[in-house]
Amino acid sequence: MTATLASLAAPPNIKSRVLLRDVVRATWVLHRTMFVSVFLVMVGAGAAILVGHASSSRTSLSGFIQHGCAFGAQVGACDRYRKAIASDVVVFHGIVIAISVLPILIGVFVGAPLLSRERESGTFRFAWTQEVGRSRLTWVQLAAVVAIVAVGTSALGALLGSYSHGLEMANLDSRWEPGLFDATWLTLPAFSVLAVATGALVGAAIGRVVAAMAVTAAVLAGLVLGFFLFLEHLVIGVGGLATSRLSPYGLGVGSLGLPSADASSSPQGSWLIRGWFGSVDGGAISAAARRTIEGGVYANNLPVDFDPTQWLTIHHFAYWVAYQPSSSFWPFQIALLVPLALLTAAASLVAVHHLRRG
Amino acid sequence: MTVLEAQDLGKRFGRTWALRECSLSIPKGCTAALVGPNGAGKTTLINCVVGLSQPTEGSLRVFGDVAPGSHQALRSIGFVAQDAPLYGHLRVGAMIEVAERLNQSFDVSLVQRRLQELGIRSDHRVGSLSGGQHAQLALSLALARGPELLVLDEPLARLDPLARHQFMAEVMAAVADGGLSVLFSSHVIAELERVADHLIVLSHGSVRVAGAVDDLLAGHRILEGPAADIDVVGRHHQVLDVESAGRFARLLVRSESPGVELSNWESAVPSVEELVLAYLKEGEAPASPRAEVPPLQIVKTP
Repeated sequence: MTATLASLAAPPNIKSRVLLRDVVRATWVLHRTMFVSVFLVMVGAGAAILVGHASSSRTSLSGFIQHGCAFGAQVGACDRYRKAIASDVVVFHGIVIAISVLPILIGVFVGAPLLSRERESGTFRFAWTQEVGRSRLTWVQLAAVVAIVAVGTSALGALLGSYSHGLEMANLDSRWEPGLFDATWLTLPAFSVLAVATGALVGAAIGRVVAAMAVTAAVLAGLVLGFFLFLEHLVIGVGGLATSRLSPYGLGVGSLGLPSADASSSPQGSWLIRGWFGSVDGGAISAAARRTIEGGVYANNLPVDFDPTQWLTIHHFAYWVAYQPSSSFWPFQIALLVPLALLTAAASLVAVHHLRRG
Repeated sequence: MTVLEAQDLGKRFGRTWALRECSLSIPKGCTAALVGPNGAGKTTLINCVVGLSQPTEGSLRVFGDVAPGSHQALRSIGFVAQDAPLYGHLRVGAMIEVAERLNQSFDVSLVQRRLQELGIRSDHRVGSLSGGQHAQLALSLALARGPELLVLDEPLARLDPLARHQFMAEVMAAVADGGLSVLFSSHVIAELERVADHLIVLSHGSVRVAGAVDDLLAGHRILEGPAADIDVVGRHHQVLDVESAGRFARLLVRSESPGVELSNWESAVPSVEELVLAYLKEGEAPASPRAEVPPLQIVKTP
């Protein structure tokens, strides 16, 4: 009897909720312009990749690879191939740079205004007092943006990976993505989603669109810089070291991010992270010793049969290579994505919590 | 049954208390006016009621024992915020669709009928509507949800006199249709006198006085008489406001014992405006901690 009275006293349909599809539809109506803009940018970027790929000289690239030009072969045709694909490389690098800054642009122009515009214009006082509730509405809006950004950038990453594969095989690309383990379809959306979450968090906290965009840009730039500064050490930390023949691309990090073609220095298919000169026992060498090496192995008038490895051995030096074995590539990618995902989730949770606190 | 019950409610922003120890209740079915100067805490109180802010201390319940901001509260409260913020980039039709999608119960035909009467076309951009049309659209969207409590934060602030009249007429028509309670804040005392049957005067974050308008008017008197006898009046009544011109004084007093008649003083029932102004002037003095009026004393002298 008590239950019956209680149910009679309760307002009708009090348990029913606004349907998810209705919230999604409302989100579409509210942010249609943004969604369409993001879609058009993705389509434009995809078209640029496809055009760049289609217009590249694949015959020359194949010849360049087949003749071993990528790894120091002194075949007469190499210069011809190199000239033929030079402009392709310039176009490719332009596209890579544009795609690389895409996550930052997404964070600044999509993530940051998402919640800050609501707060700045005061429309949150309308939206968050509707029956759907602010948390649910915010989560759906975030999820919708994340979905379109993730799908779009994943497709772009896959296109870019396909485009870059040949250039990577030819040792002409250095974008941390060896063609053997192309993961751009995963890493690009991961960074893009993180950028959206970061922008949303900053926007929720600041509540001013322009200020939120500026701070988001600074935060994301800092994150990217941090990755560039620390990722290499991180990768080396989980990789291996080996002495090697001299890199055909010279000193330091010339072969960074490329698949190994030198079976004598590291397992075939490994990801070369970094190369440097050192002592035979792996110790660091002085600047004077380095100048000696440069004078010895990179002199202009070296004989044709000059063997730099032998020269190094005679002078008690070695060329060291840090590599990541192919078997550890995906575990490393996952290990990298986990903190990104945690950062993304934390940023989203804090943003929504900040809004709920009032 | 009350639609709103606050007990020792407080809201702090940083170190500043926007509301402190506010206790009030609004019965179901009444139209309550929330009055106070700028910075009195009206919007803060309203934000707590509609769930946009969480109180720092005290308790606040709606419809008996429902927490503000909960699903049940959101479902039953229609809200028109100050300046009626809506999505200016949307067309009116799209704005209606958004509101419809975000609520389980929404009477689209009601909105369309009202907008048709007001001459607002659905293909107009929300941002291009006049202030009056904008407010009417926001009110229509709130009413279409079929709320039990309609909360309006300074709905008349940006409206011209005609638009104010139309807006309040729409509100009162909705009340007359039955079942709707209204809480609205306003600076326009003339309008609230016409529509409010419950009054809450807020000043410096505290409730100065709250109650049914009829009860409040019955509990106060305008006394006109010799200025030299003000102290005599003060022994029988709490004097809220004093205006004197030479030997003549005009007092607004809280009459706790209406039977007391003072010779040489003429008594009259104050208007709502006089009552509100007296409490707002009183509010300029340090706030009493609670809504209860302090012991009989002259609060302000000219």
